[in-house]
Amino acid sequence: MQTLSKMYQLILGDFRERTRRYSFLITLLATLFFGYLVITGKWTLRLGEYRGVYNSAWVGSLMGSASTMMLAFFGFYLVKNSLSRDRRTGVGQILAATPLSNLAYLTSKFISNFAVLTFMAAVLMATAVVMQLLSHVEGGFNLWALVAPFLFVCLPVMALVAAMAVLFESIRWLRGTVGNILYIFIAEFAFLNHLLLENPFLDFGGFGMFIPSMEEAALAAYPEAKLGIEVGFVGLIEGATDGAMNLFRWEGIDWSLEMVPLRLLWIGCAICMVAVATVSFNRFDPARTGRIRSRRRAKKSLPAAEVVSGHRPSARSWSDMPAVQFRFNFLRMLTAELRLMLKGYHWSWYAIAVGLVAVQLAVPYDYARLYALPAAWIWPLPIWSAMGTREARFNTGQLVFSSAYPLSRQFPAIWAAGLTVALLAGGGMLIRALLVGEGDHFKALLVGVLFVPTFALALGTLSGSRKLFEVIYLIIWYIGPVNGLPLLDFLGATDAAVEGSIPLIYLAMSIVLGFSAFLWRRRLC
Amino acid sequence: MNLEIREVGKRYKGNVWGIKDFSLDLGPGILGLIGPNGAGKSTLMRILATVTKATTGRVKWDGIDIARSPNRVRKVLGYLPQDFGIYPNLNAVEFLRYLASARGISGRSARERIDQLLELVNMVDARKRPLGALSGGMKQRVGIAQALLNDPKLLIVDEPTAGLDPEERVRFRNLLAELSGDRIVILSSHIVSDVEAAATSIAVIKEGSLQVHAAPEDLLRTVEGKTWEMTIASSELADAKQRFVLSGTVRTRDGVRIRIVADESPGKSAAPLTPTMEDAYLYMLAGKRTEAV
Repeated sequence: MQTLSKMYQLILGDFRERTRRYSFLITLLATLFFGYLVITGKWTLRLGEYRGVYNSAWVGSLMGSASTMMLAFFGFYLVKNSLSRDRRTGVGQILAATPLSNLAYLTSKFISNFAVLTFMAAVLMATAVVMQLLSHVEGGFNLWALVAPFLFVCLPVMALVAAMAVLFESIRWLRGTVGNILYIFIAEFAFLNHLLLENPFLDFGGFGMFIPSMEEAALAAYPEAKLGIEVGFVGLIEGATDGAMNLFRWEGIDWSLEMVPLRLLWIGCAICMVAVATVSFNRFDPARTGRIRSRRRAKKSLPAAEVVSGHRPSARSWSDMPAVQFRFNFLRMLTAELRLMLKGYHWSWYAIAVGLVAVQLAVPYDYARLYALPAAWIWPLPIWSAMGTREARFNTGQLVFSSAYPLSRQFPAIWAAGLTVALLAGGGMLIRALLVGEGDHFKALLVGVLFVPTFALALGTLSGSRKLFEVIYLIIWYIGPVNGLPLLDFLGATDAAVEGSIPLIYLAMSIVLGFSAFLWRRRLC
Repeated sequence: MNLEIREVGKRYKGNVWGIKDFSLDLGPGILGLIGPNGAGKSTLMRILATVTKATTGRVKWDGIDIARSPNRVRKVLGYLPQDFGIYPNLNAVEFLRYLASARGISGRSARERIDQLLELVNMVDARKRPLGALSGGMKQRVGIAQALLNDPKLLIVDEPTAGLDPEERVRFRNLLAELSGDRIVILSSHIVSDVEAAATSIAVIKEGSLQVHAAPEDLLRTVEGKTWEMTIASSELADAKQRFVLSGTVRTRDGVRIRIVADESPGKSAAPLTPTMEDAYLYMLAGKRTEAV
């Protein structure tokens, strides 16, 4: 009973702390905007040229699935900070010294994550209910048809996302950028893999359950219909506009006793995941982190007497120190920034980075452009995402910003260092493009070199956190250069992007983002 | 060389004032800024270091408003914040080189200076260790070194001895004494003995307002004949705390020996004592002001 009471206090405190944050408000507004897009038909599901009328069942299912996808992709990054905050603030060590068990602590964090995500889903659900009540609905308002998809599709997945956030935070190598990258691939696989859609247990977004029933309804209304499946923003789906659709009525699916337990099983899986997390959770013991291990290694290399006392009379006196010579050198500042950016990685990271550049030079040009180049441009993600965030992350702002001319000295050096990394990452491809006379691709690539660090610096400066850039960049990178959507192909990996003057858009964006970053940084200096 | 603080105020969210109507004129020397937690010391330090902008009033360095031309003072500023971070993957030399570059110190000069500063703060043996692997006291010493990188004319150090062991505290005090001369040093602390040892003048700040700015001897003079010692029963201690300003208590076989700061003798058994700076500080905090400067 006492443990439950402690857990309740922990959950409540954690929930309050998160929901009072600016990032929560921003995510909530973004979620609401997404809900608005779904309700107004801007984000839609269609079966070729057919779609259901916006009755309670259609809206509920669409909103349920859409919010599940949205919150699974973005909500994870919102809640994956609970343990790290306790670690950073030192609260973790205080809690570690209490009788609270690892399982109770991690379960509290899981419930708190779940509560935050559920709150967001509930807001979307309430929006759907209110909009349905306010508008004329064919066939009348049906609360159960509207709400059931949230309960049986969205909430079990939210439990899974909440547990995954706890698990990722408990495993040291998954806490940072590696975990962020890995998760986006897991989420992408879970939601967009057609094989999973066909398995009712693995159908995370619920589309596999809804679509066969929708197809039946569509064929009943239009027996000759040739159906397809398209999910997404209206403007991005090729073909007819939403207004030209053939409409049919769909009354939803029966939430049978067989179906519901299958969905709720995910909550059980989530709890198991939390239990697994207790194995890797170090209970905030610094002796189990790499940093302390490196301290021990460093201590080993010192004479024993020095380690014990740490003291030696100072041979230096202030009065015999010569005067300081001042001469600012941008190159030295840039070198210092680069050292700061590139230090601290395992040797294998640098080896792979060099290997990726070598691959760009070695494989046939088209392969290099379509595969090696995008791969090389995901590798420096942790470097770029740190741009503009270091002062907030390491609390060095007071030291840096009290130096003379931080805006004209240090700020351009950060940008130039990011640019240098981008040049190195795409160096092989730049040389190839130049050698084979692919002038347009060369220029497009140069725009990419300019765009990525500028984008990173702008988002880092604005948010003070690495996550915003990491999440947005990963999505753009995946849809653009990797999957070849020309509009998001900032690297000019596809001919369609280069021929469609997409690089010009990214050039303009780079200028706007650079200027925004400068203005925002000025507020700090 | 002059630092002029005129009616400076800083308002935070919820109409809470960190400091209010704070005025002070400073010339070369060491100013010890003391006050209880939350008194506004760090807020004032951040304003003087151009990290925070004042809501009201002005701060002028040699006649130039630092809010309008922050770089004028930043060029000659050394600043050690109370709560500062480091880059854990860099070692002390790399970290100091980074900050030296940002402060525009030439390459050769920076190299020499960093070597000398690390000797000065006794960090030579740990110079190549990642900062993330250093103890709190060692990090603080790196912080002290970075504040001295550019041979500052205005040195602002906020709780500089936090985390230092007694030996390093003494070393730092001696360093401060060496530093005084043709520069303004502002040393903030809630440890009166640290301030007492180095300061040429002392400012007591309470609830965001300046209580007193005086030479240490003038401050001591305000409590002359007002410090007493007497022994009371343990059961009377709570009552004594209510009635008097207590600057010390020691348990003895006969009860509790208490040190009292009071305008008049607190009792027949009270014996007069030679006052200390801590007595003067507590007397000021209790609401007694002095005209001495």
